[in-house]
Amino acid sequence: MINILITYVIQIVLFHYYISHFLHSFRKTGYIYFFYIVGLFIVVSMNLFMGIQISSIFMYVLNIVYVIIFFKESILNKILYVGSFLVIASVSEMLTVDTLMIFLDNKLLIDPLSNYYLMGMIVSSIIEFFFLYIFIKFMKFKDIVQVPKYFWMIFLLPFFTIILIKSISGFALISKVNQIESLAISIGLLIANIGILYIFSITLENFDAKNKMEIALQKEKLATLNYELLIKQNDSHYRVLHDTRNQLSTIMTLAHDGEYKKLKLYTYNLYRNITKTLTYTLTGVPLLNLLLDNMLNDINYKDINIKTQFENKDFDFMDIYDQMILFKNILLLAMNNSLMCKEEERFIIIKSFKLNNQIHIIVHMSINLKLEYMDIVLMIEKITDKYLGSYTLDLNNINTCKLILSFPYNN
Amino acid sequence: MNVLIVDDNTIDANRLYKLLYDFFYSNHIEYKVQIVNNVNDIKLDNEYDLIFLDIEINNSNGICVAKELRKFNKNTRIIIVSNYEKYSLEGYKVQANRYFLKPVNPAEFNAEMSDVLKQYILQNKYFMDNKLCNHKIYYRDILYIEILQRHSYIYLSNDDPIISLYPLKYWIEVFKDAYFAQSHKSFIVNLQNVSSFNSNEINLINNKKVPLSRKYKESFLKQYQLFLDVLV
Repeated sequence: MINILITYVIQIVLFHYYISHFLHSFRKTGYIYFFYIVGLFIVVSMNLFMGIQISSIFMYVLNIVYVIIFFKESILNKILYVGSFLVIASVSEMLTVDTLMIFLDNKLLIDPLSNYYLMGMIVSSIIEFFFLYIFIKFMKFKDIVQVPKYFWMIFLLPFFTIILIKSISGFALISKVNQIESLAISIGLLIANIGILYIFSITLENFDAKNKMEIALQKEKLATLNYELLIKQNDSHYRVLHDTRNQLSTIMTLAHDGEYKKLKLYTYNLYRNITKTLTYTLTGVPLLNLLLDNMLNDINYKDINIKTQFENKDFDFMDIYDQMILFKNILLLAMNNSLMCKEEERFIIIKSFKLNNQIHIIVHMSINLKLEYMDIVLMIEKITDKYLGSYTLDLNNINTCKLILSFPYNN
Repeated sequence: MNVLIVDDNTIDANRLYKLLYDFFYSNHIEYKVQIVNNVNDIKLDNEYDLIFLDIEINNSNGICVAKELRKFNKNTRIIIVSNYEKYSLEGYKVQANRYFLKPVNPAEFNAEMSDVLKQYILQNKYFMDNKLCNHKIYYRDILYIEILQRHSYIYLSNDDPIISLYPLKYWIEVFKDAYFAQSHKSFIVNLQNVSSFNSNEINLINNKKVPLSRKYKESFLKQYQLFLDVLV
């Protein structure tokens, strides 16, 4: 009787140790004690009247009921953790029985009244604790690193190893093979399983390290971009002040010389140019504004007419780095193609709007007979695919081309 | 094509007139242009196909003028022409089809006007078939066509369906360049009358729903994108 009680208490402690690492109880500890004391009486009674096998099964049933009543998690999570505990407990027991049977009498070992039974249970519990500890560490590790979707497959080998041995021998391999073979198979399977888990964890670590490195590289790129933009901004401020001084100087000279007609024309052109520049560099999309500002020299000096019309300014569904790549490539594609046309034919129109649960970007640009720079189109396509968007090129005209991008959008 | 230019600046109005002349001439389109420098001179009951509207006309607000014009000319294409970019988005309030910033760039003008012209043609396209009915059927009025038991049903926005014996292939050929898209093995939808769609259904402007099958989804989306291209 005492052997059963000790086994029961050890199993409760181990189960509680294991499950509390993953699930959170929402009831008071008093209820848990009460539940287990009642359970204890039932297990002992069942052991007396129905035998050790039924009471052992009931003990596991009790654990399942315990988890269902006392923990607030999804049923799937509960099944996953109780199931994994049962697998580990079974493996430990099987391993202990197979090993001890090499040295001890078979009958003594499975007799609940013998001291060998108690010894077997204690050894089994120590091995079980060891496996539980490794499993807990492994699962915590899984939370730290980003794991692929096929992570669950790693548990297939241990699980089917148990099923295999169980189906061959009913846990006692020694009944089918000799002592040395039994020990060799048990230890071999144990090492193979641990080895696989170890290799898998290393692979995961590498996978995670690669992801972290990519993120770090992206951050570095953004930091570099930010630095470059600050330098350009500084240059731009200097250029504005320099140009303003020169323009004021011209105005003062014209006014001083009484050249009022020239002065009128000069100020009118100045006003037109500033209005035009303000128009396309204030799209309402900060990143695009920066990119346009960055290309200001090219746009103005190469006489490209740009029009932006952003009814939709919300591109938060993309990360900032991808937004930058997308808009930069759109501008590069349009500018490079426009530059191949005559000066008076160069134009770029960029529009964005929301319609029918989609965000659309339409880029209308001048081309010289056919669209060039298809490598840039591929970069745009790559970003579009990443955000489950679709793209179409309208190439029905030899002088102009349209690139239409649509991204799914949820309100 | 009946065109109205509303601009208090004669130089800008004439410049626009020259651009229009070049555009219509190269596209072989007959047109009539009326230039108005004062909003009081606009004849609201005149039917215009195209209106170019400055936003700041003397002391009047072009957006208010556009709203009035819209009341009488629901299908008119209104194009905002302004010195200020800030008005480009204001244009949406009156369903303006395009906006141009002064001085209007000829290349941009021609590119945008090509789309406006496509819209105009689309809006006025029709077919007549005495086997079906004895009047014109405007494309814009067709919601969708459904094939059912070897008959095709042409659903119109304001009438009972017209039933014919023509197969689906025939209709696909008829509406080839008119922004109709096949959404299902038995359905062709007029993209002009689509109000929204999701992964498996298309909602039309009269709240009717048409299926969007997986097989035709990609081609439907491509067609829809090309239609947007004309729309905006």
